[in-house]
Order: sequence, then structure tokens, then C-alpha cells
Amino acid sequence: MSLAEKLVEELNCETVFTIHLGGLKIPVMESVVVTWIVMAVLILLAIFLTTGLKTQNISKKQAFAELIYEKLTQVVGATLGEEGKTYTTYLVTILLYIGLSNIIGLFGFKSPTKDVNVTAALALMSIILVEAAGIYQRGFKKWLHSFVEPVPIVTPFNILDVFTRPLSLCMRLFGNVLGAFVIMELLKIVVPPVIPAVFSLYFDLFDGLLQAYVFVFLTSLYLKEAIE
Amino acid sequence: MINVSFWNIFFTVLNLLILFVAFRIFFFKPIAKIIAKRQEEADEVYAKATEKEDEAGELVKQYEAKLAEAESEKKQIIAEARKSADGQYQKIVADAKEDAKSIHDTAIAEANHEKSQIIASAKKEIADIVVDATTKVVGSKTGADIDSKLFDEFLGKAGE
Amino acid sequence: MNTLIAVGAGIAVVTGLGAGIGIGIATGKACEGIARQPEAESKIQKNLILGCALAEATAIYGFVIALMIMFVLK
Repeated sequence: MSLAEKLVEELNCETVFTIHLGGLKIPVMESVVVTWIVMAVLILLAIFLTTGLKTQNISKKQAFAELIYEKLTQVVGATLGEEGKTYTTYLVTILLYIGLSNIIGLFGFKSPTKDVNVTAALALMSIILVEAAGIYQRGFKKWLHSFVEPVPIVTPFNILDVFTRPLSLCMRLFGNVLGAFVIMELLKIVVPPVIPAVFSLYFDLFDGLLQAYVFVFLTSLYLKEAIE
Repeated sequence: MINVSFWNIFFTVLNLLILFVAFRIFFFKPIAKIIAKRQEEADEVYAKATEKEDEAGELVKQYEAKLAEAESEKKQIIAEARKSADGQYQKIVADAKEDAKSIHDTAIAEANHEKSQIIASAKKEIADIVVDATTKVVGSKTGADIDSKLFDEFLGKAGE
Repeated sequence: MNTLIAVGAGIAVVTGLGAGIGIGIATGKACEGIARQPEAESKIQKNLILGCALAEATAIYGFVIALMIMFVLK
């Protein structure tokens, strides 16, 4: 098998199984299945961490859970400010999901974020959340009016922003994960034993977590702009 | 990878929503609740401590008030005692003075009385002596002029 | 045809040049800023990450376009 074929095979996202619902054929992709695994891990971890919570004489487990909770809330809340507190939980969830999805490649799964559909869905949800928050916080009229601010001439760009923002979010995450993945695959083929492990620290762990942070950071920035 | 599939997007959105709801239920809510509860407990303990402190302050105030009261009472008692002692002293002194005066007066009166008595008795004696002498003189020889001269002389002596 | 596709993909990836220069300049300036005002480090870092993410996006677009050229036109 040539290098190109191997790469293509790694890059492709296969359909794992198909659900037949009446006359409807619903393909379930690999990325969705891995997402389920990520979800299961996260939810089980959450349940494990939050059982037996006490107010005093807390266990190490609970201290860890509270540390995660406070740190993540702080990181996300710092950009979001006081008005956007309602959206913190969603953003923290997204942060954890993208973070774990990006580094799950280390455990032999294909990262769901390597599939453009997943990142597109994430970006779609982000932009819907941003616009919905804008309408909810300011009212429909003011939200519409925000498109002609600061001067009416920028209206086309403002409208364009609604589409380019999710596109850029989607493509940034997808491109970064895919790029890191391609480079890692090349490294694994060219210098097999130890060196890829070192680089995987940067590409999988650091870059993956950084991209998760950047995604959430940009979303919270858009959110803050929308609700102010 | 790059081909867009509707079902994939749909599933991912669904998955994310489920994950979000599950996280709200299993992660954020219990932890936020436990943190709020702990805060509440801490507030309670703090409030109790403040209450106790207030109570202690109240007690201290009460004791201080009592002490001050006792002090003032003591002062009053001392003042009263001093006053009564003073009065008694004055009275005693006055009594003593009066006694002394009365004793003095009586002594003077007695002395005067005695003096007058002595003078009276002396006068009487002198008179007797004079009478005796006169009778003697008269009886013997002398004239009236000598008599009166002698009499005057005696009287002057007696008057001195 | 294949050669042309490869050349096209290669040209698309050249966008990484701009991103690299941009991020380099941004990081250099951020370091200067931190050296001048160490107390503002966290703010500078945040803005640096934001700027880097935005600048990097161009390189990523180039990369994605190159991939598309390679896989879609083939």
C-alpha cells in the first residue's frame, strides 16, 4: 500500500452501520460512533466525580471535580463576563467535548473532529447560539439594528459575518486537527519508533487542547459581542 | 472526510445536545448545588459566630453597667457615711463646746458668788470691827470729829 | 493533469507563509509587550492566542483548499 493510499484510508470516514427506518436509510458514520464513546466517557466521568458529594471533609475526588468546575468556569467566564453567565455551562461542555475528541486519537480512535461534519455541526450550534442569544438579550428589533452598526455601509459585511464566522470556526478546527493528523501519520511512516511519540505530545495533546480552547474562546467572544 | 452528510451533522447536533443536558444534570448542577450549600453553611456558621460575639458584647456591657452601678453605690454610701460622721462630729464638738461653756460659766458664777460672799462677810466683819472699835473709842474718850475721821479711814481701807 | 493538481495544491499551501510571518511578528511584539509590562501578561497572552488563531486560520484555509484540490479534482 502506497503512502497516499494509506493516508486516504486513514482520512476517510466510513459508515459503520446503517439504520433502516421505514423507507429511510440513515447512515451512522464512524465519527458519530466515536462521539458516542467520547460522550459515554465524559458522562461516566461526570457521574463518577459527582457521586457522594459532601460539604465538609471532602474527598480528593470531589476536590478534583470542584477544581475542574471552577477552573473551566473561570476560563470561559473570563471572556464571557457577567451578562453571559447563562452560557457558561454550554461552552464548558463544548470545551470538554472538543478537548477529549482532539486527544482521543492517542487511544487509537479516529478523532470525531477530523470529520468536517462534526466541526460543521459544532460551528452551526455556536452561531445559532450566538444569534439566538443576541435576539434574546436585546430583542428582535435591536438585533436587526445591530447589522447596520456602526455605519449602514458595513451591513453586507455584517451579514456575511454570520456565515463566515461559523465557516471559519468549522474550518479552523477541522483543518488543525486534520493537519496535525496528516503530519503525525507522515511521521509515523517516515520515522517509526520513538520520534512520533514526542511530536504527538505537541500535535495531539497541546494543539488539540489549544484548538478546543480557541474554538470556545472565539465562540464566547462572538457571544459577548452579541449580548452587549 | 470532506463530503458533507446531513445525517452526520444531525447526529452530531443531537449528540451534543444530549451531552449538554447530561452534563447539566450530572456535573454542573450537583457541583453548583454543593458549592452553594457549603457557602450557605459557612454563612450560617459565620452568622452564629457573629450572634455569639454580639451576645458576649452584650454581657460585657451588662457587667460593666453593673460594675459602674456598684461603684456609684459605693461612692454614695461612702458619701453618706462621711456626711453622717461629719454631722456627728460637729454635734459632739458643739456639745463639748457647750459643756465647756456651761462649766466655765458655772465656775465664773460660783467664783463671783463666793467673791461677793467673801466681800460681804468681810464687810460685815469690818463693820463689826469698826463698831467694836467705835464703841471702844466712844467708850473711852474721843470726840465726834476723831470718831468720824477714824470711821472714814476704816471705810477707805475696807473699800480698797 | 495530476501534475497540475499537485502544483495547485502546493500553491494553495503557500498561504502558510503569510500565517507563519504574521504569527512570528505577533509573538515577537507580545514578548516585547510582556517585557515592558510584565503585569499585563495574562491579557497579552489572551490576545496573542486570539490573534494567532485568526492568523493561523489563513494557513489552515490554504491547507484545506489544497486537500480539496487533491481529493475533489482527482
